[in-house]
Amino acid sequence: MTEQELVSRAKAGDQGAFEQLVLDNQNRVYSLAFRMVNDREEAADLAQEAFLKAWQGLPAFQGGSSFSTWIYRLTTNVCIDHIRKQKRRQENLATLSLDDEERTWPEPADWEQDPQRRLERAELNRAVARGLESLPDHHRQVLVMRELSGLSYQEIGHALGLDLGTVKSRIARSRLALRKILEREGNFSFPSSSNPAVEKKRR
Amino acid sequence: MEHCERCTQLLSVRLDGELTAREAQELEAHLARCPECRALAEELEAIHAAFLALEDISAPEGFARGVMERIEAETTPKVIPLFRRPQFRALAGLAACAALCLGLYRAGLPALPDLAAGEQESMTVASYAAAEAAEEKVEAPQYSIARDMDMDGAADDCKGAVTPPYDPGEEKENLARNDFALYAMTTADGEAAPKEKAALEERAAPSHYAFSNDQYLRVSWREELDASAAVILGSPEELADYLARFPGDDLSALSENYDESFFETGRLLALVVTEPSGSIRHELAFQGLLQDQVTVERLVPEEVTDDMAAWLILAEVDATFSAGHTLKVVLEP
Repeated sequence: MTEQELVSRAKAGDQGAFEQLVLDNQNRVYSLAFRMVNDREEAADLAQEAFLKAWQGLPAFQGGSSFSTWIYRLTTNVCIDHIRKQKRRQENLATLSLDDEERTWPEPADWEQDPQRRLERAELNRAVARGLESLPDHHRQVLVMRELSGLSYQEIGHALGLDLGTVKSRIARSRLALRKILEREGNFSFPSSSNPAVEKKRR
Repeated sequence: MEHCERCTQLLSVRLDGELTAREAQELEAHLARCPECRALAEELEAIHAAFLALEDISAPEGFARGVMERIEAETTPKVIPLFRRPQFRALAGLAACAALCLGLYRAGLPALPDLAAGEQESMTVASYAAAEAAEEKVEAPQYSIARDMDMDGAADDCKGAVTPPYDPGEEKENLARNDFALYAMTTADGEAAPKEKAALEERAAPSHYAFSNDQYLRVSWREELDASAAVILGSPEELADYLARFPGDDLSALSENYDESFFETGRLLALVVTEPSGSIRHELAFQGLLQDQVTVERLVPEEVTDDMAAWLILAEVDATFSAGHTLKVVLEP
């Protein structure tokens, strides 16, 4: 059965059809939630909430976009809500400078010694996924919103209560921080950038 | 160094396809003479590309089943039955209380001439219309979900799923109309109730909103306290204005707790409940918070004192509620 058929059945109240839609989309939705909040239990809860919202919103779902696009968007929204609530709770703890210009990652000692470490694409993807998990929340969240949810700068600013300039610079710093993590873990380097001194300069 | 930091940002903005022509020129010029930044560009592009190909993580065992259970729990509604239960009709019993509140409210607001005592009949007609208007308002959470249906790729408003568009001007009008609606529900029970009931049954369980840190503060009872609507406070100034309604009570701790930083992301739901007895306690109903309505459960002990009491109820909500927004207060039972 196509997604469209499942959607029309679900709209007519067929829970079995909706369950199939859940099964078809659950990994994507769960992955997005996990990458947003970096906690498996929370991610499962938020992903389920997104599907619940989808069920509630189905009667009005016009099919202007595919169900999978729509549920992805709902998941983003549910996660953003969660992050905003969490942010407020954590604000007292997070008085440490969020924009970590001063922060440096230790440079890997064997930076140059291993020129054949250029990873295959699949391995790089996995490394990025892992690296993402090690990023601090404020870096990971903007990157996921931008790269996975495809939100505009404006939308991200709106979601996180940041001005456009801060969104731009935070995304740039997050990319830089992710790159640093990948290098530090020794699973990401490019032969073309082979001068550690350059790294120091760039911080 | 500063220059390269500028370059990092431009590279990042380029990946997002947001460079202006001038910035693109600037970046190209810099890349042409800075091999380090060219290398950086390559690396950041590789990371950007890797995002597109990230593997999905498997959802935990029983995930879909869990969703279906939650759906079942939701469709066995927790909000609607309130109106199906006999208690809904027993709202008639509440009528006296609400009428009293309304009366007090009116006494405190002489500026509402169309509520003059001689116009009872026309007011009832008006209140039916208002009740209908209020019903439409209650649908807001559903509408807000509907808003997201139309999005294609880059969608409109990132908090759209939970935040309906909001027109403060319209809300101000509705504050008065909501007062009428409460009156209609509680005094015209026999006729208005089936209407409400049918309307409520027609739609699926409305999605409710989360609240936290609800607090219940007894304040000095005064005739002019308005218990018909809750309001969303969005800044320390609005909180201060609101608290000014309770001149005899020391509520300074609230102002200290809810400062500028709280309101950056949070909002406060504030309402007053007046009771003929101080021994009646209250609780915001679990799943009782909708975009335009909040349900307060009354906990009435077997024996009550007969002192008049007023309670200030506050709860933290998120910024999906707009400051200045008013919500109808439904007392249950």
